[in-house]
Amino acid sequence: MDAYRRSAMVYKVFTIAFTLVAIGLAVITLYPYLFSLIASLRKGFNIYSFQFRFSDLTTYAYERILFGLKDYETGITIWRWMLNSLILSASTTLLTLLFSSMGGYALARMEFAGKKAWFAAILAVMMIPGQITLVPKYIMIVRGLEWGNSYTGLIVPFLFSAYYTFMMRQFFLSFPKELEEAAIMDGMGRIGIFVKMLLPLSKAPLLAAGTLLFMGSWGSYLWPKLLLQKQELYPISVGMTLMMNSKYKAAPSIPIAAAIITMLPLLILFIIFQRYFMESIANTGSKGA
Amino acid sequence: MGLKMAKIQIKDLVKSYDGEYKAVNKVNLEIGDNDFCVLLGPSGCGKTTLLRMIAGLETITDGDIYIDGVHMNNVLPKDRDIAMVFQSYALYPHMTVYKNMAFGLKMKKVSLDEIDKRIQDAAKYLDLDEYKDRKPRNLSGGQQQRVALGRALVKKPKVFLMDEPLSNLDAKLRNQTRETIVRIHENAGATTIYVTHDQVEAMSMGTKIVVMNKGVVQQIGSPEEIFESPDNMFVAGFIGSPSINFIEGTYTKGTVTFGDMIFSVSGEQEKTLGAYEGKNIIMGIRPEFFEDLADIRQKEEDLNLISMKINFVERLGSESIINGCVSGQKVTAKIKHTRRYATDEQIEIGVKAKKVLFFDKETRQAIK
Repeated sequence: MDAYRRSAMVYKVFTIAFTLVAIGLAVITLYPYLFSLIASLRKGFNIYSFQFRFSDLTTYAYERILFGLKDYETGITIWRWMLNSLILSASTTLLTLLFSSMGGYALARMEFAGKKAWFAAILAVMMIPGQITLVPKYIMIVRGLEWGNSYTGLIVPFLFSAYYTFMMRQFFLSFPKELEEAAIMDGMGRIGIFVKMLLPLSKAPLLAAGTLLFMGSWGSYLWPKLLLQKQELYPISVGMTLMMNSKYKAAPSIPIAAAIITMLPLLILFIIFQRYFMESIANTGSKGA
Repeated sequence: MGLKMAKIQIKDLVKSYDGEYKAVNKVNLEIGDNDFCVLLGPSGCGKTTLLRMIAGLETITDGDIYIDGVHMNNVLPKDRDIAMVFQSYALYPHMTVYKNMAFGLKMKKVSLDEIDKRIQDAAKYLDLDEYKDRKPRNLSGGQQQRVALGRALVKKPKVFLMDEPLSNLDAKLRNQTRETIVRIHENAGATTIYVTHDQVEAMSMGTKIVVMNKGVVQQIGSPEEIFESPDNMFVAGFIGSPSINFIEGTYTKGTVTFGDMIFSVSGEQEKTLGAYEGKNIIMGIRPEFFEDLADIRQKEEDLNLISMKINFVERLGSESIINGCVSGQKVTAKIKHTRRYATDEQIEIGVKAKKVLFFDKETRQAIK
């Protein structure tokens, strides 16, 4: 066998080997999801058994959750929690984006007293783990401001995000200054430039940050669980755990189906925005338009 | 296009960012109606800062700017009746060509009919008719450049400010666009202030050239004045390509001696050089003013002959740039002759005394 054919052979073998490894890793990653999906479609306790026929699958769990199931004591449906989550996540996301980009713009472009100190403080805040501030935050919000059991208490503490302010600052720093100056020459003021020039041109980072913020807010559990006592105020992440209570032990497919339903809106959101998401990550390495 | 005139006066203008170094240092400048004024200098000389101060994008540390006699120091950029073309064009990427041009006019509340008319005119003028609905990223560099010009043009300003608008174009396009800009200037009748580090641009476009270095104005004059009669060694060295030869020698009784060469000056030059008897002075000879002895038919009176040893020859087709050595000093000559010059060849070149400039060695100022 000559050297060229051997080289081609080695290439082929390696390709096959790598493909097999990749498939193996994909199976390991996807298995829990696949297991949950199938488990949510099975009846009773046999979710753990290997005996499995497609004809046994049923959408019973989904039907019960979406249309039939009410919490016996309170009469709340999953739709209510879903709506709560939507309101919470959407308002948190939009407001946080607004404040982060405003703060980021100020740090990137404006001159004001104590700018460096502010920036240092923001960097410092980024380095403090959330768990440390949890107790003081709880005391401040619930005892001090008496915002327990309210959405104000859920939204307001998260409006300022050190991380996203920092991220937007970095983006605006890379933004061509001449563009802003051209707008100034055209007669625009500071606010006009921000709203009509910068925000429309920041779609990619805003969408990327927005997607992450929405996901974080949708999946947040600890803070709403601490703050809310009224079940009708629960977001879906907290509400869903009620379905894992003992009374549903007879039908394990129900909590699993609930988890999948909770996840679905996020999945859809991610699929819609993943293009921008990838773009904004890719853009950091390239020059951009 | 309607004629608008503007006279710009700049008095003792200073810009300092840190309170110590002056990026623009006591600049005094008067730019008349319809002038095409070029601010020329190496990078970091303060020319762009000066332009941005006129635009109102940069605060003024000290001094005054007047346009048509109105004190402009604290007037907002938009109210100065100025249009600016940026080096990077700074087109709004999310707007079409049409909207890019319309934007400034909309902000000024010009009627939609008038906006449309002006844009149609400008688009025709700049060959942009078919690109009006495109976004800037779908245009070539030259087209983007023309949109940037169009955006300034439709505003019909009193003053055009241009900050190295051609530096991102290739050589051929640069020549074409140079013509377009001069045409716009002439048709619009506005005053244009143009920043560049490219002396060819400056010489070919400007009616008035301001040479700057380290924040200080070195000389103000027409292209001819700047080239033929530079005020100091910086201006002499900055203008001209290849750059001027500086040769140091001792002046005695109508001759300059350097090494084993003796150079005789003209009668007129002898008068101005009177005070330098016995002192070292610097001669400035432009490479273009050398002639090959073989090309000289009639030997004129004030012709000085210099013997040069060739180190290196750049052949440019119609002419040759010869880098050589005269009495141990490096000299460059640009000679319109295509004969083959050989390295290490010893040639005789001539230069007329009238064409030679003299500089004070200490002050570096021209002796005029």
